[in-house]
Amino acid sequence: MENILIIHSDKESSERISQIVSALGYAPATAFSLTEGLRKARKEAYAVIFLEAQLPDGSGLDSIVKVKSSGHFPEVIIITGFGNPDEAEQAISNGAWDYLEKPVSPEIIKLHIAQILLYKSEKGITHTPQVLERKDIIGSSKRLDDSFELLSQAARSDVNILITGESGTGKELFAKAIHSNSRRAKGNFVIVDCTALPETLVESVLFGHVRGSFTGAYVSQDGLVKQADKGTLFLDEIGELPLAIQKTFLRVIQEHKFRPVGGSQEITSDFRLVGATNRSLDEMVKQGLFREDLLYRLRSLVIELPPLRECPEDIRELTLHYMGTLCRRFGLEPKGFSPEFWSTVSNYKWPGNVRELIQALEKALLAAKEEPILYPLHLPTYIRIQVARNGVERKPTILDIMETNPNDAKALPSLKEFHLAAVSLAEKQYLQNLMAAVAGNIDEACRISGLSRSRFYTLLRKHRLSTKLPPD
Amino acid sequence: MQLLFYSSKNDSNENRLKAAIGSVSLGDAVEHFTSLAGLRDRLRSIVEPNSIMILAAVDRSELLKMQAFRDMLTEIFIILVLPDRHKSTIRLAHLLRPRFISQLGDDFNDLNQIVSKMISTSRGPRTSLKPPPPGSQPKETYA
Repeated sequence: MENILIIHSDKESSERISQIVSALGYAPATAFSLTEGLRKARKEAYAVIFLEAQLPDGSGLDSIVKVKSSGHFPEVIIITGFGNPDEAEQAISNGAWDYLEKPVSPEIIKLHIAQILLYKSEKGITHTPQVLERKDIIGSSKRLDDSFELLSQAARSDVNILITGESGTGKELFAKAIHSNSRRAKGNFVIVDCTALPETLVESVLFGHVRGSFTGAYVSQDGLVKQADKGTLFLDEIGELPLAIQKTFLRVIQEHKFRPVGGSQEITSDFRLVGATNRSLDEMVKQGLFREDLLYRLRSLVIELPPLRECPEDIRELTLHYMGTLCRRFGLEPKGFSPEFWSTVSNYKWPGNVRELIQALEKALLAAKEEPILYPLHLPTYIRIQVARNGVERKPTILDIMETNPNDAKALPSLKEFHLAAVSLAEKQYLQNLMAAVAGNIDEACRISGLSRSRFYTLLRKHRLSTKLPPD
Repeated sequence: MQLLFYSSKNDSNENRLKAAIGSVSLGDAVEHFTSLAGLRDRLRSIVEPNSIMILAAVDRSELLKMQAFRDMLTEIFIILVLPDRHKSTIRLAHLLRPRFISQLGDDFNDLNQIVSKMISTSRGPRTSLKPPPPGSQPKETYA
């Protein structure tokens, strides 16, 4: 007997659909929130999931891909009380089977379930997850597994993807893995480095140009969008795309047609778009730096890559993998690891994520030369210093004391002292987040924070923060 | 950040490329390699984070040989200079995951702008300016 899940906040509607499903001889289950629904979808195999468009704890529409990638490949039917053409389009683009406006008749529900089951049986869809090539994506933590589940869903669909995450978390690797596991694997994987493109070149690089269209255009040339035909176009650091180009690009995403610089005829390109950024595009939209309609188009599916500090269980696996790769590259015998080495790499926070880990391992290998075992001594000094500092118990602050003894009048400082301590803590946290977000790029940090360079350095000194990871 | 430059044919293209690279203000020396074996040896030692590598292929055969280095070029920003823009050449080029593609015969003004922008917006957790490690001294220096 097939299981069918109804994720709907309204008990009455949920009950009505359940009764129809039961009458048809299937086993209904209900969930009244998105969280509960997702949990059930991961746990049990459901052939069909009825999902309310807007739930109290999140948008069903935005969660279609997540629900579908829950491991058992259900088909999703969106149910809404207020039909909206844009939402209907979003639902179908995100892979929903259909978008139904309430009230939904029993006949319609019966018809959809029958069609889905027939489709599944004809396609031989099983509950076995697709085996993916995950070259160089190392780790088995829950956070990484969640991202990998989305990657699997992304690879099987053709929707636009947005990959977010701090610098060094492997956004390009994920984008490449989506391409390699998709039906477009035989096409080109074309990288557009939005940070490296000067504004004057963006249009001709992306869309190409015809001969004589500007000084230096000696021959007609295809742009990267055309080169991605039948393949994947990866826009790295998409937040850096100039606003004027964002507008043009929006149309290209919608219609897959564009006009080369100086050209009179439109060209088509059947590409799949994957964008990546380490910035908050929502914030950029608020600041008028990124188009909301483009963001809407981009995030049909969002893969958020976790920073390494949130997946400490992956550090060992990553270290072993990359150490093997580096030993082969440098022509060295494989190394062993002392327990202290593991302790140091496990206790460091890796603000530069996997990229920083690889660089540290490179340096450790070269420092060890022919020595067979790696010790903390071989790691860059700044890492050992940071780990040592973290290991020393810090002096409790006013805020710590207040948190420990909230009702103790003797422990309460003056309002001024409290204010200073709270501001100082918030300031330090802000600077740490900022430095991690811009990966040590001071110009970018000053731009975002609105601080002058000298003021920025003063604050870093005050909080004993580094401008970048210090050299060995 | 370091800038590695490979070009095996000393001709007008190489001269224009050198001029384009040389005009970029970079604190480090540019390392120039004229053989793929020399480049391979260099890649067996550390390349600083955010480094740029410009690879000029005189023909498809040389571009094909460059594919052997693919796994050694991760975390390096690749700029490719192609012999032509045939579909098969472009296909090979993208396997190296270049950040920019130029072509022999070009005036390399675009390439110059791209390299300048890459240097000015150098990303990553570290942007240290260090000399190349011992044993991989630059053949030529434009600084």
